[in-house]
Amino acid sequence: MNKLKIASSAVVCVESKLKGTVSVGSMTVIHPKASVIAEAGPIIIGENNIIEEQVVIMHRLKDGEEWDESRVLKIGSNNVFEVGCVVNASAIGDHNVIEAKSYVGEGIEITNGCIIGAGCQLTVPEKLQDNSVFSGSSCSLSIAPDRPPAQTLQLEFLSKVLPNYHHLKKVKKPEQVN
Amino acid sequence: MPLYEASYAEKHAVVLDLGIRYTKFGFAGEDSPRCIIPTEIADPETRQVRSIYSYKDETDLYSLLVEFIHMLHFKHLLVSPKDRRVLILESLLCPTVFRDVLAKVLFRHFEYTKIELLLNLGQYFAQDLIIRTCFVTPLERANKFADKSEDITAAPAVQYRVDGSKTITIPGHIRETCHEVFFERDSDQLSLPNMILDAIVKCNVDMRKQLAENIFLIGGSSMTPGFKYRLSQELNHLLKTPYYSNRLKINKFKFHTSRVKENYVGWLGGSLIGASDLLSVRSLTREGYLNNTTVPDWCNLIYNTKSISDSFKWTL
Amino acid sequence: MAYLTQPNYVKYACSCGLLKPITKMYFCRHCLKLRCGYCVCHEVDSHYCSNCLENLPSAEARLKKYRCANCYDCPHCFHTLSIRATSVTRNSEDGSKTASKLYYLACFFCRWTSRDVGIPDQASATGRWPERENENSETIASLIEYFKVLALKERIDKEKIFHTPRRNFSHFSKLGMTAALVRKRSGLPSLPLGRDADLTSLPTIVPSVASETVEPLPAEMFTTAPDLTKVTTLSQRFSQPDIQPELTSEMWPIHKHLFIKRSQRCRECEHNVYKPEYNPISIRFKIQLAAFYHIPEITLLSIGELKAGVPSEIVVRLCNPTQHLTSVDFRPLPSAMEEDLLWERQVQLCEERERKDSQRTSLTPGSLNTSLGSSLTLPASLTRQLTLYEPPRRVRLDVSSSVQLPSCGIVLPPRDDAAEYDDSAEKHNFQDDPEVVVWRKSNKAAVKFSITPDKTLASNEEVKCGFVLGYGYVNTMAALEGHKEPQRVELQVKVLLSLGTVVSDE
Repeated sequence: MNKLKIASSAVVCVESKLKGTVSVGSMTVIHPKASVIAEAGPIIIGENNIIEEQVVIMHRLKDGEEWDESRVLKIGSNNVFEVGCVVNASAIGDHNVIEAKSYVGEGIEITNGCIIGAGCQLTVPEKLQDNSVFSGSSCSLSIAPDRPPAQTLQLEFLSKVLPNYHHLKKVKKPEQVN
Repeated sequence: MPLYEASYAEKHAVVLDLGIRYTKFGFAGEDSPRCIIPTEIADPETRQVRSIYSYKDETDLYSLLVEFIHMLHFKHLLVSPKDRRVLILESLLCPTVFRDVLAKVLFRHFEYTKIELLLNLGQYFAQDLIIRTCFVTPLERANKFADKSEDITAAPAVQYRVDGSKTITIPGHIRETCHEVFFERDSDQLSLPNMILDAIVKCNVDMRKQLAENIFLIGGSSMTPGFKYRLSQELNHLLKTPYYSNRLKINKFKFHTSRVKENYVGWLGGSLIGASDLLSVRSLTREGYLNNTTVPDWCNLIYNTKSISDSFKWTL
Repeated sequence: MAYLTQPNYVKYACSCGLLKPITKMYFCRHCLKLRCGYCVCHEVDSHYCSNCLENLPSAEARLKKYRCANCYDCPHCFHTLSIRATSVTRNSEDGSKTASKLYYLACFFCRWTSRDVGIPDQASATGRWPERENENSETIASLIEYFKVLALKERIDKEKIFHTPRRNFSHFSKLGMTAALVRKRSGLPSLPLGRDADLTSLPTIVPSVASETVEPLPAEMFTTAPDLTKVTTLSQRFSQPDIQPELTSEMWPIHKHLFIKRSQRCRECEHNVYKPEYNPISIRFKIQLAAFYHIPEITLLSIGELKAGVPSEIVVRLCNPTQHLTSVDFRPLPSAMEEDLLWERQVQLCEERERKDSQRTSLTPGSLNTSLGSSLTLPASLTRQLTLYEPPRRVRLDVSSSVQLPSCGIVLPPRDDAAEYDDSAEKHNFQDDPEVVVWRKSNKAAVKFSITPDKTLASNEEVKCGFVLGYGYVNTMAALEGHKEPQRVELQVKVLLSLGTVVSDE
């Protein structure tokens, strides 16, 4: 079942790879060469997210499992996935920043306001505390008092500029792909 | 360099405390060391980080010390070592090889003018105890949460993160018992409280009370929460055992509280002395070193005769 | 030949006995000897901040404890902090709203901000951030004062015993400096005037009071687990030695530690071998006597198959970096016994020099220093100090192959930067032995020789070979100093080549 649902104000470049049932919320920007792969169940992406180049968001199928429509990976709003990060998280809340080249392993639940620093490799399944900040090669953890600010200016800029140089995937109604 | 200018650029003495784990380094007359860094350096040949105390032989130690002190000077202290005075704080049990090589490095390689060696232990100022070298913690952070009291219910476990890939659960009993090594009695009946009491027993009768009432703990390990409390409990407990109650007529122990962090109290003592004129009287000069290539040592009888040891007893 | 990440294949023996690649060595033009970072004297030239590149005079840098006044490091991850601005609107008195900017410090790496620990925002970007005072500094200052007087008292007591005759002569008076001035300059307390100055009164200090009661641990210690995200790590504590915060909420920005530019000086002749320009922005040097500007550089070009006991051929390239024609020749390494003798001779020379020096200093004003020493401490730099020399180490040349060295010398033409672009200029008429010289190009020549790895080598053991490289060097310093013709000297250096591992016979 490959269903793609893209909200009208979302900017999803044609060169991006969306596989499986993926729903993209309004004002969300997906750059070319980003992949969102729904193997185990649907992925629902919320509003105002930025998914940059070479990001891989996987809803991975484990051995012996089958596609399950009810097993949803929900990604909240105002998240930023920076260049080249790999996310296999089981849930993602709001206002998170997954920095460049970082890796989030399976079974990790990203709550709200978390920052996974550049190059951090998280593999221990756990539910992160709100506003957790991981940084450095040893992934040292601290808790920030506030969540990171939303990237509204960047979002506006991208949704203006990207359509000038890239073809967009525009799907208004649910549609069968392939 | 013109004579006048040279004298104008005054040169502060540096105070160096080479601990087994951490080195404290700074200028004499200041209230805290400039840096506290691990006593380790990248091996000049293999580029692997090694502790200074992991030396194999004299030449190995020599090159390690040269690299380490070079790093201290040009990365942390930012002053030229040439023609400077240095004050070394050393442990009473420092191996002779280490002292000799250190002196050679400082005089020959770095061209220091004067070295003062200061014994850490047994100053009149009630420093009964030095715990500077013991690190029994399974993890560097463990000494933050380990505690000391003789409680039976274990404290809650702590999740300690190692990188992003592992977490180590440190059970409560380990958190509480990892410092037990100080208090365990081995076959020689030696534990930290035993050693303190034995030291007091060996002292003159009229000094004993004063010593017991002036216990001053220094060194990083004594910063552990609950350390002092446990020690006082142990001391009072031991005092009631027949072995000590026959020998010691003390009824109470008193502890001093340090105003600064305990892990650099020893360094601070060096800083105080380094700032005073004593350095010029008591130090080993280049000429002295050349004439007599040994470094004075308390356990060497040449240096530990009556008159000299008297002069070492300057009082407060 | 030196690499950043690979092992060094060609090493030269320094005059101090260490083996180093040519890029890490210096050549002292005055002693005509190889030097390396280990055997030169390092001196601090200038201090600068690596972030704002401000150059601080050393007196000012010392006052600021060698830290930059304006730049900060993150107390959490030690990355440099940046200043960020936020705009706030304030209601002014007449009711209108004015927009103003407030600044705070933020770490772009771990997202720590100065707001996390409650440091108020500042109105100006360059504004002084609040500083923390060490509450103990006053107590310690009084203790230092106390010890100074105590030490002085002890010394005066000592002098009374020994009855040092008073000297009316001081060699400082010649220079218009009194003893008191010297003491002051060297940061020592001034000596009391007159013999019987009152030294009985020591400054008062508050003695520490010992207490019998020791606080037990709080009960929460046994019931609640500590929150590790709120407790600092050891490296975070030790980055601020005077305060050593235990909780993350007590961490304050750290003033950025300064960096230094340093010059390097030959220990024997006290000439500089390296001296940078003072300006921190400049990456140029005033003096740069790198070895690869002065001695022929050897590069490994090709190595034949290495089998234990079987001769194989290696080709090295020789390059003359100087402006003068030079000739090189190859000699076998001294045997272990000869090497021992050479080394012992050098150590002896070193000791002799030391003895001579100490005799000289005992005759010159230095002796005055020793006799005056009891009454007056001189700053070390004022008198010519006795120098101790560091004896060289024995060169550790553990070769594992024998070399068939070419018997003839090879002439290398001077370096000519223009020749690189001029193909027609190649018209040297060197009578080269084609068995030795493989090819030539301007100031370079490729030389072939045969090596035989030791029979005893097992597979995967390293093959090393070595030789003594003799080369002619034109000493232009002599011409500058003595108005003579440049002198030609013959110098030698031991070279060790690492050729790789032995392959097995199969």
